[in-house]
Amino acid sequence: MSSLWFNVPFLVCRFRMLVSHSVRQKTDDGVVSTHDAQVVIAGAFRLQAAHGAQAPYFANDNAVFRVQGRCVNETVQTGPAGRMEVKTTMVMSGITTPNVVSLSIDPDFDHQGDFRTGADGRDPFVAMQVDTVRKIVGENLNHTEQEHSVDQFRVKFSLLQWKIPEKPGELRFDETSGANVDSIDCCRWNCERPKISGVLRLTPGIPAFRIVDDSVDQNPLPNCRIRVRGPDRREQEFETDAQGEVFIPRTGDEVYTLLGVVQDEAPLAGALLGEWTVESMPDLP
Amino acid sequence: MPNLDALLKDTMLLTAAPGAPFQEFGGDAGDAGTSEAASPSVGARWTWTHDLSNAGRVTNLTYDLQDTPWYAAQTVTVLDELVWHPIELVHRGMPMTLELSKEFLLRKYEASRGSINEEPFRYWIPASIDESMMLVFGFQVNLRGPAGAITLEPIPRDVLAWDDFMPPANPPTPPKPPVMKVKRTETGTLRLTPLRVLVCAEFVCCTERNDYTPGNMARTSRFRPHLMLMSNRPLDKMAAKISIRRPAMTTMAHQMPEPSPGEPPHDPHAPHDHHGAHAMSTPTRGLAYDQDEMVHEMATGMWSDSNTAAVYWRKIANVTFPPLWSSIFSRVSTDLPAGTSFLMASPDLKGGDGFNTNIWSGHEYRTEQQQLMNRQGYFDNIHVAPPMRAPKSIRDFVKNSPLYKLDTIAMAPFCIHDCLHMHWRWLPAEEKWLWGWDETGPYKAQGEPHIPVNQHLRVELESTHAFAYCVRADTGLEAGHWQYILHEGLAYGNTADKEWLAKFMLGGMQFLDNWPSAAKTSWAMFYWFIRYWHLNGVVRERLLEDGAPVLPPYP
Repeated sequence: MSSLWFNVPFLVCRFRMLVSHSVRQKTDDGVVSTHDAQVVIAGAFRLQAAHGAQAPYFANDNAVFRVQGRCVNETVQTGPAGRMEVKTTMVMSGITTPNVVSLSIDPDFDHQGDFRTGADGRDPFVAMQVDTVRKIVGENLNHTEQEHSVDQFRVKFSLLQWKIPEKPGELRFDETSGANVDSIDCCRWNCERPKISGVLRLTPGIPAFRIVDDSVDQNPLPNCRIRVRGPDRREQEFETDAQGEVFIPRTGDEVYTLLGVVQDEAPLAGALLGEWTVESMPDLP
Repeated sequence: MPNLDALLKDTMLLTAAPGAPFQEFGGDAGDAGTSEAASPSVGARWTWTHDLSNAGRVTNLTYDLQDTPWYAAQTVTVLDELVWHPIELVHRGMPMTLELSKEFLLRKYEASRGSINEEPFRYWIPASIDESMMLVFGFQVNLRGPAGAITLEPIPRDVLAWDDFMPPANPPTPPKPPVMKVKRTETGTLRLTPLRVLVCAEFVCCTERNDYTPGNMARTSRFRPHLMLMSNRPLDKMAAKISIRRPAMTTMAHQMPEPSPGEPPHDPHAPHDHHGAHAMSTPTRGLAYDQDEMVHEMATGMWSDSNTAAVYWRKIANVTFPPLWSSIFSRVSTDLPAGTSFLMASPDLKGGDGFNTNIWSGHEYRTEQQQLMNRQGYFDNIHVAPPMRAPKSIRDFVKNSPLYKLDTIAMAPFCIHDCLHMHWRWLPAEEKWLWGWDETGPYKAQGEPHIPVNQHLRVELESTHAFAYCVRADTGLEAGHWQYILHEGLAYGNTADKEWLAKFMLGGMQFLDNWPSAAKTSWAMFYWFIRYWHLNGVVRERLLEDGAPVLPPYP
C-alpha cells in the first residue's frame, strides 16, 4: 500500500524522557527503604528517510542523547542490636554512545508507527557511577564500608502501535501515544514510569532559538519576546510560538545571536537568564 | 551551592533532629498525605493539632504542667491557635502573596526527640525538643502565566535537588554571560529561571529550661513558631504576620478554696463559674479560704526593661530589696485593649536619649529620661496571662479605697501561673542567649532587639488575649540568605527555677509586715508591692503606667 510518508525526505526529532519519582516504604519489621530517582534524557537529531519497498522508514544511526541525573536507594534497618544502613547513589551524566533511533510506519496496518532506540540488541548508554556505603552501628560496633563501580545506564525506549496520520505533518508524542516500552536501569520494575515528550517535525529547518523554563520538563515559554542580532548586524525582535520556539529562515552560513529576552513586564520581568545550550544537527541538508 | 536538603540543615528542627522523617507533597510528587485529617500530635509535655487542609495554622496547643508548690499537675491550654498569615513580597516592583497552603507544601517533617547541644551559638541556642514539626513550602513565579500578571506555582520537585537551587550566600563574581550564537544547523535553548521562594514554617516545642530570663530565675518551656524565608533573587520588600491567640479564659485549675466560716461547703461538681476567680493554693500557712485568687479572663500587658537593671535582676531573690518595677522596668502598660499597636523594633530607631519615665520618689513623681539601645522600640515584651487577685482579708482591709486595685494584679517580672511570655528584647544582660541580633546573626548584640537588623517589628493586639506579630523589611533581602521571622520564639512559664528559694522569698517578705497575715503568703501581694507604693491610704505606682496622668505629690 502506498503512503504519503514515502514523500517525506527527513524528520527532525526532539525527544525528552523524564524519570522523576520518590518512594518511601516501611515494612512491618521496621525496615525503611527510600528510592529517589531524578533523571532527564534529551536528544535532538534528524531521522533520514531510508524507505523500504513496503513501509516508510526514517533513521539516524548515530543519534546521541544527553543524560543527567541521579538515583539514590537507601535501606535502614533498626533493631535491638543496632542499626544498619545501606545507601547506593548512582550518578549518570554525559552523552550516550551513538546508536540507532528509528521510526517505521506500516501503511498496511492503520499507519501504525514503531519508534525506538537501539538495534540488534544494542542500546545507547552512558556511564553510571555507582557508590555504595554500608554502615553498621551497634553498642560495640561501628563499621562503615564503601564500594565504587561503574555501570551502564541504557536509554532503552520504544513506542509501538503509535497511530500516525496518513497525511504527513508534525507528530507530537508522549507516553500515552502508543504502547510504551522502556526500562530504567536504576529503577525497580514497579516504579512510576517515565514521562516522555517529543516532536517530529517535517520542517526543512530547525528552530533557531527555544526559550524554556529551567525545570527538567523544560516547559516552553510561549509569547516570549526576544531580541536577536542577524548576520547583517541588524537587531530584530521575535516572539516564541506555542512551543517556545522561534524559526528564522536560514539558508547559508549566517550566524544569529540571541541578545536577550524582553523583560519589561510580569511574569518574565523577574526571571533570570539561565543555562544556554546548543544542539547541533550537522547532517541538515 | 546548596540544594534543598543542604538548606534545610539550617533549620532548628533538623539541627536538633537531623534524621527526622518527612512526608513529601506538591509538584509532581502527588499527595503523599495520609494525615489529611487533623489529629493531635502528642509529645512528652506538648500537644498540638495541625490539619494539612489548613496548613498555615496550628491549634489547641497544650502543655502538661508538673506539680509545683503553687498548683497541681495538670494540662493547660497555652494557645487556641497560631496562624502564619500569607507572606507579602515585592520583587522588582511586582507584589506577590505567598499563601502557606497545601498547594505549595513540599515537605512536612515531624520529630519528638532531639537536642541542640552546648556549642558556640550560631542561630540556635541549646534546647531539647518535644513534639515538633516543620512545613516546607516552595513558591515560584509561573513564567507561562498571562502577560502582565504574577501567578505562583509550586517549585517542581526535580529543581529541589539541584545544587544551584538557591544561590550561595556569598556568591562569587558572576561569570560573563555566554554569547548566545547559533548557526543554520543549530538550535539554541535558553533556560529562564523564575523567582523562587522557599519558606519553612517551624513549630518547634522545647522541653523545660531555666535560660529564658536573666539569672536563670524561672523555668519555662519555649516554643518556636518561626518562619524562615529564602529567595533566589533579591527582594524589594517583605511583610509577614503571625497571630498568637490564647484562650479568652484561663484553663488552669487551682484547688478550690475551703468555705469561709458560715458558708456552705463547695460542691466540686457544681457548674464552673467562669466569671469569678480561682483560688490558688499557697505553700505555707494561712487560712485556706483566704488565699490568692486568679481571674478567669486573660489580660495582656507589655513592659520595657530598664537598660540599667542588670544589677536588680541579679538580686531578684531578695527579701529586703525586692525587684521594684521602678528599678527594673522603664515603661509598662497593663491590661491593654484590643486594637493597640506599637512599633517594637526598627532599624530606623537610633539609640541614645529616649522617652521620659515617671518614677515615684516617695514624695512625688520624678521624670527620668531613658537611654535606649539601637533599634529599641516602644516595648520589649508581652505577657498574656490571667491577673491575680489579693486574698479576701486583704481586699477587705482596704475595701474603702479602690486606689489599691487589688482585684487585678499583673504579674511581673516573673509569673507564677499560666503566663505566655514573649520577649523581643532584653536589657543588656550578661547571658549571651539574651543578646540580640547584629548584622551577622542572633545572640551578638547586648541589649539590642532579638529580631534581624533589617526588620521592623510591630505588635498589634487582636483582643485582650491574642496578638499579631508583624514584621516588614525593605532592605537586606538578599538572594540566598535566610530571613528569620519570630526567631526569638515564645515561652510558657512553669515555675521558679529553685522552688525552695521562691518559697523562702515568699515567706520572708518583711515589706508586707503591715498587712493582714495572708499577705505574707501571697504572691499577689508580692506583685502588688513591687508595683505600688502606699502610705496612709495614698497609693502610687512606682513606675507610672504609660500614658497615665501624673498624680500629685504625697501631701
